[in-house]
Amino acid sequence: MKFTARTLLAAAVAVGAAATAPAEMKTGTPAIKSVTALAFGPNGVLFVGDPQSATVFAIDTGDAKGTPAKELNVADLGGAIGSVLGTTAANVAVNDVKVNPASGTVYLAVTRGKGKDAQPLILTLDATGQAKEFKLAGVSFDSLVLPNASEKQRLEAITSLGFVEGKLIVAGLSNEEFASTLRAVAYPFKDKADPTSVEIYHGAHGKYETNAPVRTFVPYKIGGADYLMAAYTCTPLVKVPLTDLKPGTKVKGTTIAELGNRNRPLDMIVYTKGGADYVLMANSARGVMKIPTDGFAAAEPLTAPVKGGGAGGVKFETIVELKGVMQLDKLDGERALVLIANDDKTLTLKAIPLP
Amino acid sequence: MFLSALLAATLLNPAPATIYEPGNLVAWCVVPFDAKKRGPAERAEMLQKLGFKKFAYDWRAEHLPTFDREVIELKKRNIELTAVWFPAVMNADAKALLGVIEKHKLTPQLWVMIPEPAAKGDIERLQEAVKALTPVVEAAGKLGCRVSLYNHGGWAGEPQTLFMVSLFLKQPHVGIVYNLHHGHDKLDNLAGALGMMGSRLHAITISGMHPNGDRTGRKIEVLGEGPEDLPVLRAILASGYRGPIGVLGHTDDDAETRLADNLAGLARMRAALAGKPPTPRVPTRTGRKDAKPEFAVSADRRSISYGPRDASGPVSVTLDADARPMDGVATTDGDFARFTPRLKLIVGTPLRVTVGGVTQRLVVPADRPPATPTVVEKVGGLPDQVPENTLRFYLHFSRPMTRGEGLKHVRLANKDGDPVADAFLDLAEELWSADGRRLTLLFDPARVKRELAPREALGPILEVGRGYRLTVDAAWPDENGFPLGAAFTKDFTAVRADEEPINPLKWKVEGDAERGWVTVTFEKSLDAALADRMIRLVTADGGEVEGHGFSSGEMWMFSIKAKPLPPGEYLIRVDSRLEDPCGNRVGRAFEIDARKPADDIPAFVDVPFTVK
Repeated sequence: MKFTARTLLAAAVAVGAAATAPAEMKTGTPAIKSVTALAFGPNGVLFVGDPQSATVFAIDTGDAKGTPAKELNVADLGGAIGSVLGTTAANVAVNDVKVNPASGTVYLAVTRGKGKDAQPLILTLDATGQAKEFKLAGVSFDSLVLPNASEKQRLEAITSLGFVEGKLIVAGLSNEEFASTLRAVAYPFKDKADPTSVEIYHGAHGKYETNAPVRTFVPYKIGGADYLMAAYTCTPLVKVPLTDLKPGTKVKGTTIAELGNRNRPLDMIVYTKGGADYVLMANSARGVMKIPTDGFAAAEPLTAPVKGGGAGGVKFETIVELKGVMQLDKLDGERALVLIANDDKTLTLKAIPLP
Repeated sequence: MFLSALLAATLLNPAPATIYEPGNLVAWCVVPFDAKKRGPAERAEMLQKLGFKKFAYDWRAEHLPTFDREVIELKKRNIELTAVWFPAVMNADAKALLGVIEKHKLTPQLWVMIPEPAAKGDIERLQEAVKALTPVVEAAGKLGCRVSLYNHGGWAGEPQTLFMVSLFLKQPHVGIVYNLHHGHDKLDNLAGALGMMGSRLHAITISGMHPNGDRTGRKIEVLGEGPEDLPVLRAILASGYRGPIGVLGHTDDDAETRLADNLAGLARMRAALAGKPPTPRVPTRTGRKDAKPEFAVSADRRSISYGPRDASGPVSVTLDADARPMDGVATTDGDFARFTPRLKLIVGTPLRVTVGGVTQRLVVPADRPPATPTVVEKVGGLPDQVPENTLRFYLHFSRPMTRGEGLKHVRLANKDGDPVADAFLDLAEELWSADGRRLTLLFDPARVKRELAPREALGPILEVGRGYRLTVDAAWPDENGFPLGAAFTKDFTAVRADEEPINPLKWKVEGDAERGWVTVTFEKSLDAALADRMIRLVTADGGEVEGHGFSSGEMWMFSIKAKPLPPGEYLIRVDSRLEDPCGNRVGRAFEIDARKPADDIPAFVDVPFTVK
């Protein structure tokens, strides 16, 4: 009896998983050459940014239910991953960390080995913090080749991926021209030929404007309208209305904050606490910043240079107890997941209460 | 029904292991290496006794007078003269050999070493080798003999050289004989080497192979004694090669004993390939006397083996750090216990390997360094005079590099040696070209663009009138983990900002319609990579003129496919996204005054010219 019940359950799960995979998907092994950015779409669909093959893969993880780990603190993440992959922490690079919002499972974009050995892999962490390889053989997947991304020696770095309002947003930076584009692609990938690509500009204090590739972004609603809160390679924080991202257009982001010199934003999340919304931003030199969003709608574009290397624009506080944070994601309504580079070069991944 | 299906499958896939059966084996390196110094008749008799049907004739000057006798003795015993060692020039020895071959109406392969050329450049070397070998190739062709280029180390022994020279000689009777005992440095990718030589392979000779045998005094082992031997046999089968297989004497033992040892080892490996259980080992008579079973990491880092010995339990592997078992498959592979991890082993990983209750620590050894180290070939987009608002430049390497290391190894300093801090944009992901040999470095755009806080506070990266030195240190590892051959420096002076849009109407167009080339000289340095992609030659009605374009950054050169270029009106068609190193585009400066109405720039700008 027990045997039968288990078989039935397994069958039901299999059917359930198949039913969630969009019709466009095929079954097989996606030929991923590199993995630098991850994002989640609906029902546990994982987007994998592969700059070396100028492709974004959409993989049905079949991981659409669950609850996040109660405790999560992996003191030596590199060592834990290395152990699973038959090597040491020195041969493991963690390129991105994302939480599957459908299940709370943590996904890691990892490169194992260096040089000609470099091999892209995806790992998950279970509720006890144990790393496990997410095997790509026999998954349901679809892929989108980024048009014009690859020609002769040209490639595009995929600096950030995000999913908002049925669209996958791909921020890229070419290894040749600086005038890079932001791509907005409807998912499931239907019109593969022509994903919207938008030239992004930066109006520096109202006088000069220049091309401005996006380094990282997070979708956010301001007054009922969808925006991307984005960090340019040249400027810390701008807002870009999502409705402006139309084919062939020129979009100018509005600078809402300068967050100090010799500092670059690394990752951002948006969360709600006590009825108010905040952006939490990890930076290369100035720690983790908590920025209330209530000023975003009214924020006037910064029109005068911020003098003396300080910060300007919207107000923020620095979370002093968080140091070395490289990556951020929201684990659930109360907690964030942070990837920390320690002084001894080890990596720690842990859950912290949202500040 | 089932039986007939099985039969059909067998007929479609004849057991390819027959290339290792006695009838296909060629005895090689016998004549001058025989301790017994056999004469032609004794030698032929010995070969017959061992079951050889094919023989490749090696010789020294003292043997040549008996070559005719050799052929007669072989014929008597129905042994084919498969190949003859042959000079690279048509000297007296060569003529004597061809005389005997012609007399007996034989068509052996002529095994020839490519003379190591004196020229430096690859193309010049190829041309020199082709020129040197042409007389031999022509003489062989007249007799219906094939010429097989023989690898023997150095540039001339590289699979790529063998292939290219055989290709450049442009004769269907030229190919390659590939000797494993001169190819230890190719064991890490034997499949790739065999794939490259492909259908040009006339013969392959095999030998007992240890991954570093050529460096540890065991270059030529008895067949079956080397941990790489079964993988080598499988790689040859998988390559589709179905020609003769050479077995070596070569060791100055009694040739009969040595060849017999090799045949016995090969027989055991045939059994292993056929999936038969191993029989107890018989000690070799000519192998190393101190041979003990040992652990070895294969040259391709895909497996760890223990042997040779009578099988006694599988190898298991754990990480030294936490004793976690490694994911993989343990097998008995002939006289070796073999562990094949699911993921390729990484250099420097400390392991514990266990077999038959014995555990040993082992660190995955480094790969073999390349014959010539990787170097920085040039820096693109950074001339002697560099505008202070330069956005990017390119580092070009002779081989692909390890990624994610760039900013650790590239430094900018001023003339006094003071470092310029945070000069380059630190992206999480580096901007490598498709071939992995070119890295794009961006000066931090926040300090290039005007009126941004970082530039206001820290000033520009490059100050007009000052001298700078860019240094790439030698510690940067290439894709194989080996450092660069030398550090690289480039000195330059910062000059005033270039804020001018690119203006193709200032370009100078020249050409030679007869010879089929067009040259465009730019009004200033442009981004070579972009100019390479973004400039085309079209007819007045927009039709593409076929050919090959190339840009140095100063010029664009186009060679027309179908010469001459007919008289008429033509256009140099420029994609307006073309940039100079400062980010200025066609008709649009990098920074534009947003208060003024922007010019409407079409997607393409055309520069007309006429061919009379």
